[in-house]
Amino acid sequence: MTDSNIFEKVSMHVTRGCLVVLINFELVDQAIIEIQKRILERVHSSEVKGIILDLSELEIADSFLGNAIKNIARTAALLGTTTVVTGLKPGVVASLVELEIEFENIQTVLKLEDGFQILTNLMKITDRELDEENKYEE
Amino acid sequence: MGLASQKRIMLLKDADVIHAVFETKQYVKALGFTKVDQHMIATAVSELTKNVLKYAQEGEVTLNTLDKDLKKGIEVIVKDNGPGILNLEKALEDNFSTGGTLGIGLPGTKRIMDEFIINTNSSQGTEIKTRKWIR
Repeated sequence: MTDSNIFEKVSMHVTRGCLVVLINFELVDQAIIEIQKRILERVHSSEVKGIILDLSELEIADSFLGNAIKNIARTAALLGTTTVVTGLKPGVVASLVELEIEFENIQTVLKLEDGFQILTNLMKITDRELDEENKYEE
Repeated sequence: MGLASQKRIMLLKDADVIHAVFETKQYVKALGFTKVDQHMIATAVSELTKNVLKYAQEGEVTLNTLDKDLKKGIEVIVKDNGPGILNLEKALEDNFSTGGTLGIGLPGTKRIMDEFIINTNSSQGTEIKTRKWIR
């Protein structure tokens, strides 16, 4: 699959300080690896505070994709970024459970808006901490 | 009502997995599986067909309709002529390693489906026959 093909199926943009990635079609493993890379590059270059993986259109999540999501969250955390997964469908959740893929340290929410809420709250906390630090310095 | 026809998909390249998953979704939807079951069976097919490409380079998947004592279901047969699964017992054990790449998804697939039979040897490759019934 060529790059152009991948990105017809995956949209990636920064909204309200968060990198929103919409995966709306089943992808070959190579494409999943490529997207993982692109997400991390984007996180690094645009200094987003959070990643929202929107899987609301996705119907199939096998162990490769499940592990890729875990990897994205793990590596993003090393870059200081929190990952929230939104919109998991019942069939996807049931499959991940049977495949014993656990999203231990990943927040999952039903709606995209809830994802923004979580990340915005996190950002506010970080901003407040910075304000506090600045106060002491003055 | 006649049985849905058999569907056979060759597995030669990565995109064939996507094709097999798509065809499975259509097939089980037509059979009358619930949405959750449709997606889970397609996930099982994704796991099994990816194994074929990974370990045997090529193979095929066949979808059959089951109709027995008023019960309906799907039979998925995934076949390859690869090197066989050397340590079948181990392959069927759950893999709790953090990387998750060592497991080949067989235990999970087994849990998703109702029946699961593997025939494997080094000279003839591997055939996995698995079934799921409509509840």
